[in-house]
Amino acid sequence: MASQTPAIQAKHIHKTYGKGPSAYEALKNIDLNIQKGEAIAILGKSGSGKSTLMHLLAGLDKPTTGEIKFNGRPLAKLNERDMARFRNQNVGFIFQQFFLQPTLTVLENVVLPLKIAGATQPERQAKAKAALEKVGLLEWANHRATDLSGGQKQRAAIARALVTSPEIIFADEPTGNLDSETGRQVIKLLFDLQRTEGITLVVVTHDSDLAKLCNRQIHIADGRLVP
Amino acid sequence: MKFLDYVNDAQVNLRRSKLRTGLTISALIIGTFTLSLTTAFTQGIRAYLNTQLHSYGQPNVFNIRVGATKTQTSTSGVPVYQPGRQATSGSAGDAKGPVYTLNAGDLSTIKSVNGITGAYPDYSNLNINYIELGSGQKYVFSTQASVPGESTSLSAGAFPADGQAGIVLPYPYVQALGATNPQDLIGKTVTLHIANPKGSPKDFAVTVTGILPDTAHQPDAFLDYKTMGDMIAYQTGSQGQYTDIVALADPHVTSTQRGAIKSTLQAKGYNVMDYDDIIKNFSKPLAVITLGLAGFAGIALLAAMIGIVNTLLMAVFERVQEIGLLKAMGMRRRGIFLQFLIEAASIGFWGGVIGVALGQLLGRIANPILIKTVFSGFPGKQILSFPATYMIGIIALGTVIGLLAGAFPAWRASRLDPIEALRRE
Repeated sequence: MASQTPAIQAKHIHKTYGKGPSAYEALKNIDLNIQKGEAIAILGKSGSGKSTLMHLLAGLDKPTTGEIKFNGRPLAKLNERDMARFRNQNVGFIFQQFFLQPTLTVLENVVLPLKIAGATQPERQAKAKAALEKVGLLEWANHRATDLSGGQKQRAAIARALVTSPEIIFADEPTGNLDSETGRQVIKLLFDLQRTEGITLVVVTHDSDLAKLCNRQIHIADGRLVP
Repeated sequence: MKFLDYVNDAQVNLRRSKLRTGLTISALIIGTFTLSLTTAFTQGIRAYLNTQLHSYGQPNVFNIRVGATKTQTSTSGVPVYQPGRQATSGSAGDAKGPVYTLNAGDLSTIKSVNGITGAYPDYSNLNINYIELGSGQKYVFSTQASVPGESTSLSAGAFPADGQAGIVLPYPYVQALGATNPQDLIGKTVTLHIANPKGSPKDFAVTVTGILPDTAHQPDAFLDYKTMGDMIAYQTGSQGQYTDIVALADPHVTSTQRGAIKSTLQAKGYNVMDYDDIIKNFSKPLAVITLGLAGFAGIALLAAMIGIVNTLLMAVFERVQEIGLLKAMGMRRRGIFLQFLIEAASIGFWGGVIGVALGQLLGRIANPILIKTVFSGFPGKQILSFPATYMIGIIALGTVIGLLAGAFPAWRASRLDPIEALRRE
């Protein structure tokens, strides 16, 4: 395991917002390796910089200085097209607010990443249905996303993150909008899938129960990693 | 994403806020509707004018008068007398004051011009007292000379052949002279009664060879030029003096050939009025009207365009989170741009389609009414005509307006930072 290239290598990451005297340093000299198949929790208070770190690791934003490598390839070298493809093919996202499109059906929501990839109709249908089956929502496929309960919504979002078979899934406070019982069920599903599919999972949370389920926890405070 | 996905998504997104989409499209419809009616109207009027103008002239006919260079004006400005020419009032046409008549010499000069196949005298000063069929009711009557080569389509019969005596009557005389069908009058002999100040009045018997079409504008009758010359000679005592000469070219003469013939005639000192001049006289005001109406439509479209920009900017603002999500899931900037651009183009497209459809609908309702009233006698079935190419053009214009209007909001959307977009609650 140790001899393998890590899924993500972050070296000397700095992220500064703004310029001059009003500049704000959100991340200070972060070094982090995430191994393939690992589940890692990034813990920290709100404003600690944990979401910023996740955005950088997921290629949604670029560090001010420092380097992030995905499977040994520096993300900074990707152009706009390749970066978009990277997010589409290699990464899945789960958000606290679910971000399901209310006007679309559950199936249409799950299809979105495949649609962006330009997949054929049969491929879209087959993969989306398979993903919905994994999260136990197949019978809800043709319902509007708004018909779902909170827990079901997050399961649909998990199906959407899984549908392109990404190597890594980023989950930003996945239980933040759920009651504790529903949250536990969603977390169980997420970790089951992580193990069976061999996905690398990065969870950003301030929920210590959730963090305990991960292989490793890193703490972040004021933009620095806390040992 | 596949192109069809973009088009499909645009329709779905437009349906998300039906009222807003509807209002934006209706602003555009006002423009495209006006434009389609303007086109329809212009097309119809042009077709109408063409049928009407055929009683004035055909493409291969030249009307010739003596031009300024042949006039040899004296220093006083009054033309000097030339033996063999008289003067007529030049109030008709572009000349004012006395204008020389033409004679047999002019006739042969004009005949010698390359491209001219025939030249015939034309008269304008014959006063006929009345026309009569048998011993029926007498009617007032006016006629112009008929020369070979007339190509107006008649409702019955034909123009008199070269050298044949005959007359073509305007349509209303069919009923006036007691016939039910135009065909009934063909071959009948009518009497034209003229007075002579020095002698006794005289009846000229002429065979009816044709009946003009039923047009709104009622033209003169056409009397063969030889009979007309005889009648004028009897009435005025002057022989071989013509107000105009009508010259003919090949019926298939091209516009370029017409131009060449015209300039040769002008070089020989004649004033020439041909079909192009007639069409030009009528087309100019029509073009001005068209341009004016199209201008109004253009203003409406411009206003609609601003409406589309506004609608799209609102849509971008509302869907910031969605844009962020799509970007996070790997949609490119170009994809976001296209999504909004195609949405705007769809507004334009539907605005065009509905505007054109409404125009057609109005045309269907208005055409029978217009033809019964203002444009009675129009041979076709529609005054407002909607040629497919123009209508497709208007729909295309609507779509282009949508594209232009959508470019800025789409660009704004494509530039959104996905993190900022996702952070917003």
